[in-house]
Amino acid sequence: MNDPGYSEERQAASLLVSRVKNGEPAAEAAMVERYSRGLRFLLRRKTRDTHLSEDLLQETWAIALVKIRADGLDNPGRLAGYLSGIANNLALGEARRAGRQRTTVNSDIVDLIPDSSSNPFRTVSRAEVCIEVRKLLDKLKKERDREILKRFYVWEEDKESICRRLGVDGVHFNRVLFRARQRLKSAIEASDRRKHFKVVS
Amino acid sequence: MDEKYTNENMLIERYLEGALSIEEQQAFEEQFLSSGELLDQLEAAERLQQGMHDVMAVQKAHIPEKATSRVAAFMRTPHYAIAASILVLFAVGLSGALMQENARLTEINTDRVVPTEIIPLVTVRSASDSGLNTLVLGDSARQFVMMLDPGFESFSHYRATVYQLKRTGKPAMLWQVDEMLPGYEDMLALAVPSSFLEPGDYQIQLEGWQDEWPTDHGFEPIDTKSFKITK
Repeated sequence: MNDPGYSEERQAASLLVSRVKNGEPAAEAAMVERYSRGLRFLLRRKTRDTHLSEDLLQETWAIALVKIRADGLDNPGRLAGYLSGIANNLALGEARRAGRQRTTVNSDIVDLIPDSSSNPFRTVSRAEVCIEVRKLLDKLKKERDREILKRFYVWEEDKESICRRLGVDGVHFNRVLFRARQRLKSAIEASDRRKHFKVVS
Repeated sequence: MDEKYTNENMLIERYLEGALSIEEQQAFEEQFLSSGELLDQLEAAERLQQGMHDVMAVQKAHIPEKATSRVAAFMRTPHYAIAASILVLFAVGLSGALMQENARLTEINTDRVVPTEIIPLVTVRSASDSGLNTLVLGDSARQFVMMLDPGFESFSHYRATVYQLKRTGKPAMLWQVDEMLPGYEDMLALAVPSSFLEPGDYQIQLEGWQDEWPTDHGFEPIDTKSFKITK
């Protein structure tokens, strides 16, 4: 992977692991802050349960921080991979076991984990998303592009059959999906900003 | 795994579908854990998918029912039930009337549909006492087909006339068929409905006609057959 962002990530991760191993509480907080959103998303996708995913997120950090504090990591640049591995194993174990024995979570760790209220994609309501998606569809100039979104996201047709049926190429298909995603992202972020706007007298 | 690669390979959509291989999934998860921008894209795609489902569900809920559904809804109303009941009663009444009419017409036309009895008539001096050429009317209507021998001389066509013989007075002409031609075994078939006959003595006069004859020539007598009708 020649992505420059990937190299930056490896360096930042290595530094965080090193600082946590050296006993810096601020590094632990920064690590948890940096990776919790992604871990929460991953666990929610795997468990399909918001409350359970919160429990597993705490357990993930409990396991990871104990290990990093004590031994560090063999490959600290792959911290994200290490954390996603723990989260996946916990989610998989949860699916296998009905009566799971929970790891005792240190309350200090729980305090470090940011809640999801800072994530606009989680705070925006389903009804608001529905309104924004409707606006997005109305703004699309071509009926064919609306058809692409409908077939892909609602009817779950695959890309090849949609392209063949509607006579579009793969590049156009990707562009429609990317733009729709970007527009919704912008709309949700704008909505979130309006919520936090305060009138100061 | 940059943005271009992610978009070209639809990694976001495929991840949400659960369509990535284990290796691809591990690499992708490692990437989005450390990339806020990719995570934004991922969450936006997830909400877009959910929003699309919701929009379609709402649209579907607001689509007016089709005409067929309105018809179905009308068919469930009490008004329709009452109208349907009246129609059914009318149909039953009409069917009954038609059935009676059919039975009546069947009775009237009974000779057209009754079984046929074929009788070869033989030449006898009188059918009264010989027992030959005696036809039984029976209880049900029928059609008597009497087979007549046209004789040796050939004619263009034949005419048969049935006379009822009276004890007193002249025989009464009862039935006549013209334009007859020999058929099965060169015999002439004369059909007489039983409803025309009653017990008694009858006579059939068979005549021939040649087409080259002038109209005032008249039929040539060929034979006379007697038969008796009993109950």
